[in-house]
Amino acid sequence: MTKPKDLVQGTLDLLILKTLALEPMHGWAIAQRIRQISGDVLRVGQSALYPALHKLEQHGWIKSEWKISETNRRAKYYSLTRVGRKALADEAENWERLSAAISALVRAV
Amino acid sequence: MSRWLTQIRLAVRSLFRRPQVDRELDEEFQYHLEREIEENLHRGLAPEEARYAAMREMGAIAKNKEESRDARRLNWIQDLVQDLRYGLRMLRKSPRFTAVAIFTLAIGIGATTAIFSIVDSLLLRALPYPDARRIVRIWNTFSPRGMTELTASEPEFLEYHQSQTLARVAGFALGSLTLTGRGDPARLSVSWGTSDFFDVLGIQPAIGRSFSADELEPGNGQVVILSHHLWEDRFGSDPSIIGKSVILNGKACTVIGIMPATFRFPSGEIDLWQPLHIAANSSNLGNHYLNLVGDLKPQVSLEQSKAEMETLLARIEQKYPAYYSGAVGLGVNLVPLREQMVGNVRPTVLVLMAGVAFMLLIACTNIASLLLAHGEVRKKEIATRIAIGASRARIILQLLAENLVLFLAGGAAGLAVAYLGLKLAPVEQSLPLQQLGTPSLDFRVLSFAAIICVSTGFLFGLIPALKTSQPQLNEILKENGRDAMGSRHHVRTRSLLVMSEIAFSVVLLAGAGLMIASLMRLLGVQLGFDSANVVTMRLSLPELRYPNGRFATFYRDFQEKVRGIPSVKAVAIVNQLPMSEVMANSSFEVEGWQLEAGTNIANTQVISPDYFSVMGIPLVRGRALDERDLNPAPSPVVVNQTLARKIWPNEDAIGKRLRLKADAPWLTVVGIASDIKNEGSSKATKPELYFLYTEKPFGLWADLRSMTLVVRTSSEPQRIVNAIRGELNGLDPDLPIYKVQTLGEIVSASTSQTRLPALLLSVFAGIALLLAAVGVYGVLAYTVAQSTHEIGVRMALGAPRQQILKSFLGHGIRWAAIGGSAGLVAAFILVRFMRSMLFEVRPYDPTIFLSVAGVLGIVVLLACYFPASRATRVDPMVALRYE
Repeated sequence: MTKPKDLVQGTLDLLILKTLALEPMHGWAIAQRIRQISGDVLRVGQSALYPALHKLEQHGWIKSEWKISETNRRAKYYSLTRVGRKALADEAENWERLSAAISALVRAV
Repeated sequence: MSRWLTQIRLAVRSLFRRPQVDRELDEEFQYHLEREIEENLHRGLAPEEARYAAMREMGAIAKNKEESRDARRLNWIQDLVQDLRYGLRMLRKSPRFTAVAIFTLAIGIGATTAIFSIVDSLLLRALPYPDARRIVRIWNTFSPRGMTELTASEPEFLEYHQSQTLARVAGFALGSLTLTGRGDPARLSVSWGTSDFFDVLGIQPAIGRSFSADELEPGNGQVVILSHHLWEDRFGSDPSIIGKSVILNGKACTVIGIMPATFRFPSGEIDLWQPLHIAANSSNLGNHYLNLVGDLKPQVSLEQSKAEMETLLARIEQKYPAYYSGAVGLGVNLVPLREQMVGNVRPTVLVLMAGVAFMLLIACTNIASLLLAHGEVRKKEIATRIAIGASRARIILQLLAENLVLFLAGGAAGLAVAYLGLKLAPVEQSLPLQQLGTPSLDFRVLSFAAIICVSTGFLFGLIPALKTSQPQLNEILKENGRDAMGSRHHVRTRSLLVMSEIAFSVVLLAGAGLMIASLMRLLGVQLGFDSANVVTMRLSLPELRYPNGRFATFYRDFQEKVRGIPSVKAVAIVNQLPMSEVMANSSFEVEGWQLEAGTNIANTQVISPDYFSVMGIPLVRGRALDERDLNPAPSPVVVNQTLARKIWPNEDAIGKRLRLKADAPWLTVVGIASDIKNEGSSKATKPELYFLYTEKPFGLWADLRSMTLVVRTSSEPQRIVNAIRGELNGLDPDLPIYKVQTLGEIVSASTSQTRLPALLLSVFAGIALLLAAVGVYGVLAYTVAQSTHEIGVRMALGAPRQQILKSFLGHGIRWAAIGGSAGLVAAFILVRFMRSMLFEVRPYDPTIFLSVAGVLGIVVLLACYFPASRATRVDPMVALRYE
């Protein structure tokens, strides 16, 4: 019901965009990928994932299309748009700056 | 660019192909669920377990879907339509609530719309002249006597005409003419205008043309332009009337044009316009008959132009020093056209608008309180919706949409109220709507009503929506919601609403009280004459057929005939009736006095011998005028008490002599008439002179061919009028009688400026008080119902009924005290805007404020008594078992 508490608001968008930068994926695969790459630290529940996906699509950052999945069933695949790619670059840069600032602060105090 | 297109495509898709979008959402979630189950199986869970775990992981699917949909943020149109439909259904489901709410709103919005339509036609709507803001009326002023609207003479007009700050100056005179040869003879109002008359206003005839330069030359003025209403009524809107001639005062005049219906200058009563020639070398200083109108040049301010006009006035004063020597203190004033038309009623109209706005506020507050109570009933329904995943914003929007349905329905019903209100309220006779057009429910007014509906619906629906949507799920769902914290909270909000209603009512009550007191004082004024059973009518003899030496004889014969009608008790004629708009007056000299010319001014009444007995005006001393006084001329005069007291304070006025000017004969005072309110109930009585009617009243300038017949009768006025018409027909079938009124009507019309706001404010205050009482009743009844259990306990513990009653009445008293004091303070601040509308009542009249407080207290206590006494009838056994 709640969004992952350790995910800073807005980071989920970044994670999704980053994941999709590799290749088009369906929702479940996105969740799996985030979990694997983060070494099980980040677990995205679908309660957060799907609203985020639909919001990004509405923004025009990602687009969706129905394809046959690896398990031979119809699944909705999301991929980055050109605008999305630019947004990803911006978001990533923002994130770098923010996390650098935060870790600097955490170490200093 | 393509991004926008995508967004729009998605929006359209989810709006119009919702089922498909929903199906896809379902499919997407289903796919996710299946993959999750597979994953769990893979990790070695049993099938049941795997499925259950996946479901748990997924969380509330329905909620996720709602959120995913919300993420698209494009459902609002769909939602709105759905909500409106739902709102209608809810309203149908609770018909009593709906009926009360719509009725309340209909009255509030309807009255507001009606008053706004009046405000719009008087103050807001553009005047029907292209550059109306630059048009000014030009008046001479005479500060020593406080005169601000004096008409000008021809030489003054010629001087002002040379103004550099005004693009044009036109003069016009007002009068009336008799139209014959087309059905019954009719008396028509006419305006004679100089060459620039139509150009100043920027309007040309709708059909035909205006006056040519040639027609403005002396002797060529036998042309006429018709008003739209005259053309419609008398000439059947026949355009071929142009070029034909009509008979006016016995002379043939060619119709050359018809003005548009919107042209109402100088007033909506004008039927005809004719050219006015003023000789460029006119030296007619004594006849001040010209009204002036001009248009300011661009970039010129009113003050600049006024300053210039005063220098022009100074110039003409130097040119004719002998004439102007006695008139030190003459000035010029420019008044913008709209100010001229509505200046004196502006405060009335604004006060009425404020009054009706207060009433609307009370109505809306009542609705808000009702909605809160209604929200209590629906607590469970809303809690359920929140529990299955609707966001609070979504619920608020839905409640707002429902309220909107309610307010729109109220507004629609309100339009009917507005329509009826405008028909029934006597606005036409009290406000100068003649000049500006009747208020109607046109597009502007309808838009206003719509804006009022939506904005009040939003504002007053928001608090209930916020409160109702506050989720206290556990408490509400767990138990029956009795005595939950939420409802206590609602009662607090509703008490606040009730107190503000009381405060608003107090403001309205104070306003209404002041107006009613003014009206009572006004109606209580001793007029000095008996207005019952007197019929009046006017007639004018055309000069062509009634040359000098003929018209006095006609009036004597006519009065003789009327006197012969059965049920006529007495007959007289007079040049000006009491309470007519303009009183003719004249300066006079007193024998043995060395006074500056122009110091003594008196209204000049020219009467036939029976005037005092027809009007019921007693003579204080001496005798009335009679037929014997006609010979030898000059006849004596009667003066009123005010004049006698002013001129001969310590002497007997009888036998004293006065004259109108140096070359006129001396006239002896033979009687003193009792004072009457000749200029209206609210005006002080001025010195007055009564002359016996003859053709040449010794230096008095007056049109004695036009006189008013006054008839005291013992029967129904209308029948008498027909009989008089018959007698007149026998004497001269071509003479119309016009302005047929009873004296009672004239008197009542003279108080309409006070009567209208008194009536309307009383109605508003009455409704406001009723609404506030309903509000008080509703909230207290609700509180009592909510506290049944508590009352039961208290009674079981031995509390006397008296004490229960007191504790609930206490609520009401507190509301009345707090709301009432706030209202009195607000009223104290606001009533000063009514100062100009009051008559012999101070805005801070303590009696009125005390009465307001008293009325309010009684009404609030009454409204509280019924629910409070119900509380005392609670049966403790039942109340406790209810648990």
